Order: sequence, then structure tokens, then C-alpha cells
Amino acid sequence: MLNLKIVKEKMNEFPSYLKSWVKTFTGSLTIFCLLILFVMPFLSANQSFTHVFLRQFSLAMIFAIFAASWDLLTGISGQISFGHAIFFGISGYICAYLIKYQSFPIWISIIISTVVAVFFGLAIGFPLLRLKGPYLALGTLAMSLILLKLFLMGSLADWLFGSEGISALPGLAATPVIEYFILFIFMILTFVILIQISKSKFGTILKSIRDDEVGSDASGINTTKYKIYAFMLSSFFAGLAGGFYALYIGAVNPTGNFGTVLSFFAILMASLGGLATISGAALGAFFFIFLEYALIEIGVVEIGNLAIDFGLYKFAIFAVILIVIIRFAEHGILKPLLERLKDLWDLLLGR
Amino acid sequence: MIVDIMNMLFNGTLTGAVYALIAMGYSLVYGVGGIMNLSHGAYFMLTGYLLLWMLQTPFFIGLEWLTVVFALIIITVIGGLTFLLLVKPLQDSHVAVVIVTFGLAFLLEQVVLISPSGTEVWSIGQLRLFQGYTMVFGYPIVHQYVFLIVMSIVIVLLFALFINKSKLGKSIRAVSQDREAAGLMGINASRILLYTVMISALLAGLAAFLYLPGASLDGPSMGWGYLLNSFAVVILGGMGSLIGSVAGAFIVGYTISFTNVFVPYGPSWAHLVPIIIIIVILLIRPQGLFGKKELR
Repeated sequence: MLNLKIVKEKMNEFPSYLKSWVKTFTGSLTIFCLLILFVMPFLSANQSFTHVFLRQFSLAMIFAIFAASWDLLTGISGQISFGHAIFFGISGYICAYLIKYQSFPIWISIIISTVVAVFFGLAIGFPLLRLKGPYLALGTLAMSLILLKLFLMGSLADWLFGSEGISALPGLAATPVIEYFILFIFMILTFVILIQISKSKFGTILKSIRDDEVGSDASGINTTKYKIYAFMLSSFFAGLAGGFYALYIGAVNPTGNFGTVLSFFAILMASLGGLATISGAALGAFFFIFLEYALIEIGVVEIGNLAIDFGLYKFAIFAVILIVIIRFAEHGILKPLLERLKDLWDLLLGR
Repeated sequence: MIVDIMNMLFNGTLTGAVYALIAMGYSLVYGVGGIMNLSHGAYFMLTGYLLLWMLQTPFFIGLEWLTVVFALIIITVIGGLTFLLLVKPLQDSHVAVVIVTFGLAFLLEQVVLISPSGTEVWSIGQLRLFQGYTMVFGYPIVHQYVFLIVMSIVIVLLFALFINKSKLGKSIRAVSQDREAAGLMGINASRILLYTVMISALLAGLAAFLYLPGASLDGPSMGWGYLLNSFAVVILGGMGSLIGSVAGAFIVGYTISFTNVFVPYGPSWAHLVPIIIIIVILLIRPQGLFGKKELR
């Protein structure tokens, strides 16, 4: 399957491909954003800046990976998952357990937990992929609710740590700046891999399954196999994000790592950016995290004698945003906005 | 021992009766319009809180029955609005319908959560129509629950009669069998769908009115549990089949109560019953007990 000659050819073509890509609108904009993200930590050495503001960026990167993994499964291959928190949570728990109770090194536990998440993807995908469309959505939602309840169960607290979870984990890195760069590299890697996958033959097959399952079955594609691959691939990146998240927060607990809210976040971020675009997930994640940050920062606003606490209302606001986006702009808002910008750009350059 | 068996039988019937009401509407909406309404559990939860809020208002003191009427009207209207504003414009895309109703369920949960009564456990016991209990073989049979079971059976029978005999019921069946042909016969399919969603919301509201006064309001996230269990019921009975959802509801009900009573640490394991049912049924008989052959 892997033809070395083709790989070599592609490797030789790569510099010129990169050069032409940078000249395009998306390329230059991506490079611009990445440069901004790269210089971000050097702007200030202030404690409040690095420990609060910069960490929001790190959080956004973790969620960008998570949302992109959801987008691969739902946007690209059309298998609706409402329980992506399963992979996120299980990986976080395994990672926390290995570090805290087996004193594994951080990186080995992240690798192991990601692999476990992939096996979960296989184990869950295998029975659930008999379901189609909305059934699958509810099936995955059911799975995540069950796992949440299992982990909350008092009688299993000896094995699953109960509602307390595991706390006091070491951080991903010594300082927030190093943590930022680790996540930055992993985010770029994730997006390069996922975008390449969605453009490759494999991605085309997934899209064909999404658009017409019977048709692709008839043209000789083993749809079940590819759907399970998509499930595993998606759970791999969700698991990666979950492991990072556990270390980022420094603790795991059932509601924080398995809650329906997390699956909801992934859906919201990917839909904000635009379904089936992968890169939209990153835009959505950054937008979302900073909206949340802003809402908490705004806090209580008094209008007349009515006090509105935006920090408390944030989930309701997000739900309204999700409903409005899906209702009026199914393809997301951020990605189409960029496409308008691109038209403007082309107009300005006279292309 | 006899107490345990009574406990299992009674609670199983009770759970089955509640889920029969909830799952029937849920299954009907899917069978007629192919709409997977994830906010169905939220309707149940919201009805409970609507009743609570109205009972807390001084205006309704002495007029408790009026709160029930209002709550049922409001929930039916919310059901109708869900269809008109959110589901109808997006009907062609399964993904969009599922996401948008998921968002609505989440919104309703959050709205209740940020209301002053969001974070505590409440009782709406004022609405119990029957007080007290009778000891049968050493197990207390709560009168309110007996009333629920009887009412549930009556509602199920009335509903079956409505679907089979009335003109609207016949139109609903026609749309569910073949939407285009029904349209050609002069049936306005989207109006029928609207009615179906409203009826399903009404049934969920009725279930809440009958069940919650005897139990308690455990917090706004309880809607998800009811949604999950009715999903198990509907998968077990077969999507779109009314007999299936009633039979499935009682099977799930007895299974849950059996787990509760006879399995060590039962109440915690009972949460796992629905998912086990879902997975087993999907592996051995994906169309459910009474479902049509193909699974859309």
C-alpha cells in the first residue's frame, strides 16, 4: 500500500508545494496566525499574563484538537457522535491513574492512555456502528451517560475513584510557557495530519460514506471497516486531547471529564467554525474559549435593578448560539466569513 | 422474600407505566416524521419544574389543578414551537435535526439550572391526588402510583383508539406509511407532523404530572436519564411501533426493578440496564421486537 517511490516524490515536491501554499490566501493567513501564536508567550513575562491569559490559549489548543477529532467523525464521515467525552474522559482517567498510582513518566502515560482511547473507540464503534444517523447519536450519548454514571457510582469508588476523581497531578511542563509550546506543536501536528487525511483517498472514502452509504457500499467499499477506522482515528485524537486536559487541569473527576457538557463543547466548537472543514474546529475552539473567558470576566452586570451574571449564564448562551448557528448557518460562521474575506483579498489583488 | 417480589413487581409496573407514556410519543414522532427529538426528556423535566414554579406563585394557592392545565398547555406549545422553529426548516438533514434538538435540551436544562430553584431537590407533593398507602404482603403500595398505573393504561388505550379510529389518527398513520402518497391524498404532512410533536410533548408532560408528585425533582439534568431510558425502550420495542414501545417500556421497567431489588448494589447497576439492553438488542435484533425490517 505504501509506495516508497511516491512518498519520495512527494517529499521532493514538498518545498515547492509549501512555497505555493504560503502564497495562497489560506496559507498566508494560517502562517500569520501561527506566527502570532508563536510570539504570544514572549509578549510579557508578567505572572498574571503567563498563568492566566496564556493558559487560556493552551486550553483553546487542547479543545481545538478535541473539536477537530469530533469533526473528523461527524463532519467528514457523517457518523454523529454525541458522546465524544467518552474518549476524552477515559484517556484522562488512564493518564491520571498511571501517573499518580503507577508513577509512570508523563509522556509514556499519555501514549498509553491515547492507545486505550483508541481501543475504546474500537470497542464502542463495533456494536454502535450498526446504528445509523440519529440512532448513532443517541447510542453514543447513552454510552457517555453510562460511563459518567459508572464513574460516579459510590460502590465502585474503590476502582474508579468515585465522584472525587484523582487530583494533585503534576503539570504537563514546568512553566506555562513550555506547556504552551508543547500543546502548540501537538495542535499543529494534529491539524496537519487530520487535514491531510481528509484530503487523501481515505478521506474521500469517508466523505463518500457520509454522502451516500448505499452507493459507496455498492462501489465496493467496505463501509463498516472504514467507519471503524474513522472511529478509531477520531478517538485517538480525542484521547490525546483528554490526556493533555487531565494534566492541564491537574485533576480528573467524572463530571469534569465525562460530562455531557464536553461533548456539547466539541459539537459547538466544530459547528462554530464550520462542519467538515477540520481547520474550522481550531477557529471555533479559540473563539469559544475566549467567549467563555470573556463571559466569566464580565461577570455580574447590573441593568436597572436586574443583575445578570454572565458567568452563570454562559452555558445557556452557548446553547442559544449552537441552536442559532445550526438553524440559520449550517456550515458554520467562521469559515464562510474567511471565504468572504478571501474573495475580497482576490479582488484587491486583482485576481 | 415476598416483600422483595412485591417490590420488584410494583416498581417494575410503575416504571413501565411511566416509560410507556414517554416512549410512546417519542417513538411516534420518529415513526411519522423520521425526527429524532432529543429534547423529549427535557419536556418531561420542564413540566415538573413548570408545575413547581407555578405552585410557588401565590396566585395559584387553592387553584392547584389550574397549574396542571397551564403546564400541559405550555409544554404542548413548546413542543409545537420546537417543530415549527427548529425542526421543520432543517428536516432534510438528520445531523442538523439531532444537533438542534440536542442544543434545545441543553438550553432547557441550563434555563432551569440558572433559575432560583435549579440546584436543590424539590417536591411537588401538593399535586398528589391520592394520599397514603396500603400494605400488601408487607410492601407499601402508594395510592398515587396505583393511580398513575391506571391512568397510564387508560391513556395508552385512548391513544391507541385515537390513532386507529379518529380522522387525525388515520392521517398520522398515513403520513407515517408514505409521506408523498399522503400528500397526494390531500393531507398536509407538515401539519400532521406538528400535531404529532405536540401530542408527544403532551404525553411527556402527562407522564411528568402523574409521576413527579409522588417522586421528587432531582435537578434539571434528570431529563437526560429519561431520554436515555425511553431510547432503550424504543430500540427494544422497535422504532415507530406503538405496541413495541408499550411492551418495551414494561420489559425495561421490570428489568430495572429486578436489578434494583435482587442484584447487590442494585440501584447503581440499574443505571446500566438501558445501555445493556440497547447493545444486546442492536447486536441480535437491530429492528427491535416489533419494528419494521429495515432500520433507517
